[in-house]
Amino acid sequence: MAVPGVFMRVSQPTPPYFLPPKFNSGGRRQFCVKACAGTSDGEEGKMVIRKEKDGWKIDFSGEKPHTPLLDTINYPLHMKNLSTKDLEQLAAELRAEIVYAVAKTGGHLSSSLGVVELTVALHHVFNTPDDKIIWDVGHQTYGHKILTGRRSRMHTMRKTSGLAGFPKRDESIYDAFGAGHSSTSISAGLGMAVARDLLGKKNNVVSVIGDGAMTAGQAYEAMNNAGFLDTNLIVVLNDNKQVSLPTATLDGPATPVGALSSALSKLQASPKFRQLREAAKSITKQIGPQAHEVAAKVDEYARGMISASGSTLFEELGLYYIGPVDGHNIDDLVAIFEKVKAMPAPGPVLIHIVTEKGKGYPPAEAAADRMHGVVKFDPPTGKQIKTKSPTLSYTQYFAESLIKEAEADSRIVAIHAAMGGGTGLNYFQKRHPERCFDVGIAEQHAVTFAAGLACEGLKPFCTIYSSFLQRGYDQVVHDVDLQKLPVRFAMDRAGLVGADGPTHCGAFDVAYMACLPNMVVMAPSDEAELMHMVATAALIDDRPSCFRFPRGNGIGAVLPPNNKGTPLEIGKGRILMEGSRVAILGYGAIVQQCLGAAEMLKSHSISATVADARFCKPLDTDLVRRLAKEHEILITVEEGSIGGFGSHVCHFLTLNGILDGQLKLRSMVLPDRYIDHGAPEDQLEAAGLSSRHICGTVLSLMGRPMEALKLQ
Amino acid sequence: MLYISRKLIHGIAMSALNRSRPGRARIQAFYAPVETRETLYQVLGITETGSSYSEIKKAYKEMARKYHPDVSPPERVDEYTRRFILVHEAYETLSNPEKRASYDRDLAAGSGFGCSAGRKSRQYHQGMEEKREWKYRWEVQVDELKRRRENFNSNSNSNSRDRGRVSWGARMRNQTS
Repeated sequence: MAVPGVFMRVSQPTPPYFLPPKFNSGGRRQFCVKACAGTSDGEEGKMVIRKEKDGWKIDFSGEKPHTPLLDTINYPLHMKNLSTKDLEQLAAELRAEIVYAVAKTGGHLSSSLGVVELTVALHHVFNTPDDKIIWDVGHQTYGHKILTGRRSRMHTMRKTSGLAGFPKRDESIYDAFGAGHSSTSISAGLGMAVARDLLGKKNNVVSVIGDGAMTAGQAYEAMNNAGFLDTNLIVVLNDNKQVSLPTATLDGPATPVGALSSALSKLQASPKFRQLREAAKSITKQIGPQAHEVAAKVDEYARGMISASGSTLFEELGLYYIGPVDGHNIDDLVAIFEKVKAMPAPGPVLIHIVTEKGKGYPPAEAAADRMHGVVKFDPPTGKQIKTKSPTLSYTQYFAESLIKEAEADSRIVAIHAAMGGGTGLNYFQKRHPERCFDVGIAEQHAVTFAAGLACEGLKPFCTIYSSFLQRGYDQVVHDVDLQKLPVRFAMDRAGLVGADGPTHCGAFDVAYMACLPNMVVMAPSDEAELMHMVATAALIDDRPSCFRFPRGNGIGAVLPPNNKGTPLEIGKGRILMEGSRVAILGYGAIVQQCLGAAEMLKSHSISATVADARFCKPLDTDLVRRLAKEHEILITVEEGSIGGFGSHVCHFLTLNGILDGQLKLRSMVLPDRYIDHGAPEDQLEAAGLSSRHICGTVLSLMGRPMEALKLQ
Repeated sequence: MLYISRKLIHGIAMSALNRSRPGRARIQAFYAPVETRETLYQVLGITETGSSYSEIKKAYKEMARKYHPDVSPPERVDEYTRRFILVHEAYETLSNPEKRASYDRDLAAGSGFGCSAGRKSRQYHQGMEEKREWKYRWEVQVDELKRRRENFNSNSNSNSRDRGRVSWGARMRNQTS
């Protein structure tokens, strides 16, 4: 039976609740449900978020404040009806929510605080998920996640099976593009804009990029292309004057890296713009209102004259520059976004907003590192609750040993790419300030720069995270390895990295370094070995070399005296435990898991030999030959992808006919998929490389699969 | 409550957006930051002490009638509209006893109206001054963008840098529109 007047819109794929409501234009009062800031029944004591003369003040001294307005927002759709005052209140509540959420889980705090107003303004003006907002790097998206339906899961941030710390397309349709490495947002945004044009759609594309990410070449490649194509694209440059991360030096943010930041700061300085405009205006008044073309020309000249030199950089690339804009004034932000959105064909536009990192949370504003990355902390004071560990992190051991090497040898220099805190080189910088180079987020340049230094006889230690070195890989191959220049690569965060997830995971460095003809590739199994390898690398002066070490703390090995390592013999591994029938050959810090597996095997009355290969290239062929000859089973273990250490061992064994016999060879590597973020132990379990798994592999190979299955 | 007509809201919105006058010169005083040295009481033309609610309301009605955009002389519409908004704001603040009390406190403390006491307040004002400069600048930039792109769309050769090349984006827009 047909129901008259009902139309089924079968061609409509979007669920109706995703479509924004149509507005009644023209004056008629709308009925909106509003959550009021104040209640009149004597609850003033609970009002810890309130508007004062110079801004909203949040009281962090007690429990999490009530967030009546934020409680009504589940998706950006619910923000459409809010007035400016409501949006400001929402921003204050969102700030409080972020602080209290990160206080419980740890993560990146101040970057999210700095963009609270921007997030609120973007979601108010634009209609996500049809309109795309692409966040560069993505560690500032905590506010974005809260507003897009993930508020209830914020307590799982960066935990196993919880929210990712960066935008992830699999996680939500509101995350338009996955991020983690920087400077990709404009490129991705341009791609989405061009696709939109080709498909004939009409949505907006907004890329949000920071001033630090602007130091990377890819941002310019993208802007150059955007200017040429002239598609409609909005780029928001979030300038918080922290071109390098505030963890760059021990005393706080580095003085800005490079010429770009001085250009940006010139943009923010306001010359007597208005006076000049007033003069131009009076000229126009004399010309008369009819001559509007002449008036426009006068306007343009006036603007060109006082538009500071920096804006012409963007103009020359083809982006229309608007700014600087106060990034904490929601009124301004909403006004600009509305106006640009309403224009039919603005082309590529760059809106330069100025924000303060950590704004609104006094301990973050005051801290030297602005509380960029924190563990759990106490909201009233901002004091972080750091768990005491008997050992330091591998990063610190590396920094200590490099400092010692540099004291002995004045030709040693260190290079990093805007990661002074993360690589430990902020300590090196303090001790040898003129020998530490921060090139900004420019890994390609860092590698070739190191190559140039090596040409002239210096000993550069290029310290870049394993996954970030991927960005400069051609330079490693072409500029360093091909010419056999003695650049030393110290690859931190190799292997699985825990809460940061697959974007920061260093799974591939063994594969991509060991396949290069001239590269020496080594990996320490503990912190003492790391110090020895730093010394070894310092001595290798005829070819490039690299060593990888993981995230995390040392195991408590006995350190060499005075933190000065002794160089190892190149191409020689070592045997840690003698046994029979089974040999476990580990590469890198995973050797600790191998030792754990050997302990477990003892209780199954199997005595396994455990060896630490130390070098993947050149491989300790004597050791491998011996292990293959004296044992029935050889298992290689590494925390890397296929194509790494295990492949090199296998290749050697096949070429030398050793696999033609009775040997059972197994290579344990990271699985052929990306391991999600989580606790390091969970990730190792998920990857199948824990002691239990190694033990299980041995048992299965020895014909005892039931015992393998019963392992805890 | 004074009845605020739909037309009035529309008029204010139109003036603020400056959309309704295509023939006039583009440089106009569409938004100059209000640097008043007068208190809200002076705006309404009443005394600080002893003004009762009905006096405030009467003063507001008078001022509103005088500065209403519909009755202002055409060449001073913008200025009168700004005045009108200020008058409305004054009424909102002063007619609410709580807001009026806090405003009176501010006045007595001498902050916010030129007689700044102390360096912090001066720094705050300098910061505000800078922010106002910024706001003025970007408003001009946005209007310039609009004007430029309107010309660009109608005249595809106006991009002198490329000497007659029509950009990919322009070609796509012409296809769909």
